[in-house]
Amino acid sequence: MIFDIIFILVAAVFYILVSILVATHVVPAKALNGPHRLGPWTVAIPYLLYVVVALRGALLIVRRLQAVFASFVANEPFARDNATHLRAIWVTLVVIEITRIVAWVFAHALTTVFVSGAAVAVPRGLANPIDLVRLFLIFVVLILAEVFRQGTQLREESDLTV
Amino acid sequence: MSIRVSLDKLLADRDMSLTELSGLVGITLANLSILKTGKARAVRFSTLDALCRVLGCQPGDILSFDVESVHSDSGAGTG
Repeated sequence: MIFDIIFILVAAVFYILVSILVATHVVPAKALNGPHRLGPWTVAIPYLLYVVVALRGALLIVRRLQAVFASFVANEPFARDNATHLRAIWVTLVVIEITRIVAWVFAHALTTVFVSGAAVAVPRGLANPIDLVRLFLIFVVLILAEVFRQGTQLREESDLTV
Repeated sequence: MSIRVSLDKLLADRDMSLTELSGLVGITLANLSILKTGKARAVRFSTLDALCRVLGCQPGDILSFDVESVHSDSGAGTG
């Protein structure tokens, strides 16, 4: 819980600081154009927001996966919490994907308003509004969560069969 | 669940402990305890068969259906 709060605070401060520095041209937007090609500030700022959310989501997913693997090691694959962990994972993936789509919308809207004419470099993560591979992954994890939920029910029924 | 298990009464009538019954029927004490306390979700016929042989009774002596609890339960799902 404390870790979550610290992470959100640090991420928020970092994000706001970079946004201000880039928007006021103290840090030129092209300084963000390292190997990842963030593009102008109209793209970089929404992309950074998406990156922060995605990083936080990734940490959460890793923690949940650790708990799931721990139950496998303990030879209890259908432990009661595993369905909850997998549900948390697919919900986190949905949140990350929604953030990505929102970032894409903002990036294109801001670019249209503030950057006229020429083609703008866009990071790979914001190339397309709809990514079928990501949606498929979310769907697979959703189904896996349901399988584990039903598996847990069956295991509990079996344990209570005399 | 409206099925009642009368194992404790049968054991008392025969002056037998749950541990002794466990050894005679070949069912673990933990499982017998689950059955006795009404936490079991299902009972195998093989278990019922072993209990009836050892206790010398009918399945109806061990299991009964509590009609009153059906009327008092509102919206109870299947177990």
